[in-house]
Amino acid sequence: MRREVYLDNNATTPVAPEVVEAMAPYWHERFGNPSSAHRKGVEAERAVRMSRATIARLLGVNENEVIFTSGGTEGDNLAIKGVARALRRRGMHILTTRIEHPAVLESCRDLEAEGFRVTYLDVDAEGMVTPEAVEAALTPETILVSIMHVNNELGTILPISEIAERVKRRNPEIVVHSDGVQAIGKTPVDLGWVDLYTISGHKIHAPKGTGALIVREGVRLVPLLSGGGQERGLRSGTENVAGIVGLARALELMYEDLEGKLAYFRTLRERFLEGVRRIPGARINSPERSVSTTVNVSFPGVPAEVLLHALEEEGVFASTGAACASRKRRRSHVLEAVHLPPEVIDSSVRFSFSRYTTVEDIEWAVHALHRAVERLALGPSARR
Amino acid sequence: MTQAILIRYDEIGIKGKNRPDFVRQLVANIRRATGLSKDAVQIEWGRIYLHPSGDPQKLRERLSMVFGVRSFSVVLVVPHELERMREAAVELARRAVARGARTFKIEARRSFKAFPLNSMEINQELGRAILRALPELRVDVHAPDVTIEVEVRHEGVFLCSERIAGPGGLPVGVAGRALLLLSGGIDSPVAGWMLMKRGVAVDAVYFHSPPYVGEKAKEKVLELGRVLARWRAEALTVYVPCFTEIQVEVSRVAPPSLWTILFRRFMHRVAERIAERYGYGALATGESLGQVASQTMENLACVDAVTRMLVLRPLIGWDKAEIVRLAREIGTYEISILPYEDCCVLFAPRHPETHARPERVEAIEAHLEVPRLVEGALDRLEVFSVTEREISPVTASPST
Repeated sequence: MRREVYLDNNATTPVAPEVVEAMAPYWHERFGNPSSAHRKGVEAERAVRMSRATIARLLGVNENEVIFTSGGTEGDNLAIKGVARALRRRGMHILTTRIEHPAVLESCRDLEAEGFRVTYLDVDAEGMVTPEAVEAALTPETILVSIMHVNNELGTILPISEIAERVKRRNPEIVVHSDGVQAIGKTPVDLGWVDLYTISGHKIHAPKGTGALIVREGVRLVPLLSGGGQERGLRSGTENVAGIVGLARALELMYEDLEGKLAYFRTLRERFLEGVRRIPGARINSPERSVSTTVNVSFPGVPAEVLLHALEEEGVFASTGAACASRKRRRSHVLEAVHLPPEVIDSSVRFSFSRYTTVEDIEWAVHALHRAVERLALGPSARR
Repeated sequence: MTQAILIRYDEIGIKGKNRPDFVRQLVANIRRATGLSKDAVQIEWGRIYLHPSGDPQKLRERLSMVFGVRSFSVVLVVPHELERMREAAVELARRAVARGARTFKIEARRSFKAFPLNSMEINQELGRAILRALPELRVDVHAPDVTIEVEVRHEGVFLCSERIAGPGGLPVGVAGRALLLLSGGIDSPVAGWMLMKRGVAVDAVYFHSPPYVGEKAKEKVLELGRVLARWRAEALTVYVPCFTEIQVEVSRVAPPSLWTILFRRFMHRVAERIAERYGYGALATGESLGQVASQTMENLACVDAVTRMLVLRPLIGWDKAEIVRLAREIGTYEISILPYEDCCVLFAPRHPETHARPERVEAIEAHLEVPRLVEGALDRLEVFSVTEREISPVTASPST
């Protein structure tokens, strides 16, 4: 069989076999509706409850602070719209950054249409926002600050604990949300003063359509969905029992020897960077302070799409910027926000690793990259 | 400089022979609660030190739920060298400044008398070092924002700046085993918690009445057991006898006003049998005197008359408001108020008898096959093992 090297784990990840195993009983045998009063219901409800307890324990929050969702997009929507609509009488200003995921940015756009004012903070060349810059942008009208924990395109780790502390010291009434979709399992998570935290299952080897929003006690939200009042009324709809069990198991696996996993990711990153630096013209876009699982690299003059196709011919799967932006042939808003020159953006490719990535995968990918860049830098597609 | 956790426990009342047992149980419970290996726990005279491999802060929540722990601190451990001690003291002061401290004092104790400086001189040396390194701090010996405790012991020098209160009490397991009558209500879990605080290993019995009461009510009790299990440091066993036949029979022969007292007499009989079978030294209930109409002195006496076993009622002198406050603190309240009927509620008469006369109750019981009904409840005994992470049925139940 041809070798396949999947280095697009920021887009999605394979479901772990242990996760599949944990979910197995919940499709056909323990299929009950957690709201049912009979045993089938009770056993499903217990599975949801135990999963909630597991996630709470791993993230250091209370069990009633875990709200299951369908994933990152829903979590971000619920957090941002939920807070804004609950607090609109207190103020109409929201603070976020220019490098957020579209789920955050588009939620903010929707709120602008409802009359809210949104400030999109600039970032520095590394995609970093300082607590000082956040504090300086607060206004007496500010009700919500939403800043991602790890950027999906660059891997930059933002200091959300410090930012939250700054904001809360200034005004404890302001709610702080962070999108942690790309952070879980890739950097230690210490929520501290953060009120709302979005996580997604399919980025951590659980199935698509699973996720959770951490809602710290005392945070008021207006729900997006009306219905049976599941999840403390914040997310009506029959619980995705199998998915929830899978999410908890996936998180548990992530946190089994997290230190060891992070060290392994560092090894992968070092090997990869070592190889990439030997390729002529390579330019590393990911900053020093980033998760080890994301490396964004450009080969100016080599169009990213062409490079990806060439890599794919060798069985290597990576991506240009964010997966959704590439279709529209629009330049990545994140890479523009860090002021990369257009030729660097147009040739930028993102490689993202997981615990299933091996050192051999990395070496294979580096060789494939080396060959492809050398070929394309001389070929007709270069320097238009 | 290494970090460790220093655990302090009360020694009052555990002098002499009980002491080694107390410490052994406390260490076992701490290890269960934290998952630390044997090598990570060091027992010194009057002290327990933990050496976790990761961040010691992560153990805070766990330790605050281990009965027998009076207080604990994250300590810096350095050798008997003044320079290392200065570094550690400055490090602690730096952390305190980050938390907003402006004033400090040093409180040194020297049990290792071979150390050349006495405690006054240690205070001065370390105080000077801190003032030099952190000019924004001032000394205040009366009401300092932070007190840096320094202990020069034989095995090293221990420095800490914060005492975190533990739950106090005695380690669960040193004071015997009791079987708690756990309903879905607010009081009984609190009663169980209080006994655990006094070192009692508490397991529970829940009287289930299918089909009058659904699975949800049982699950609610198991969930209460799960919360209590956090404080137990070990799996908590929940025994679930079948109470249906007893309720049906009692309600058939007795006037509604006497149902409650009769049910309770049966519950105690069944619980006593379970206690004897599985080796419990007492029964326990969440009753408090006069709290609801049925919990009068006469009624309690009328219930106690059916068993020979000691019945512990730790809430006997408590007000409802006090019980609710503690239930909220220990995390059982939110579960207790979930609206699933337990067996008492469904068969609850509107006007329960408040002054049950034993002769009358006994006369009614004469119409019932008491031993057979008690046996029947035990024939269908379900047993669950409940931990914070898991609720699992126990299949093998040794019968008498």
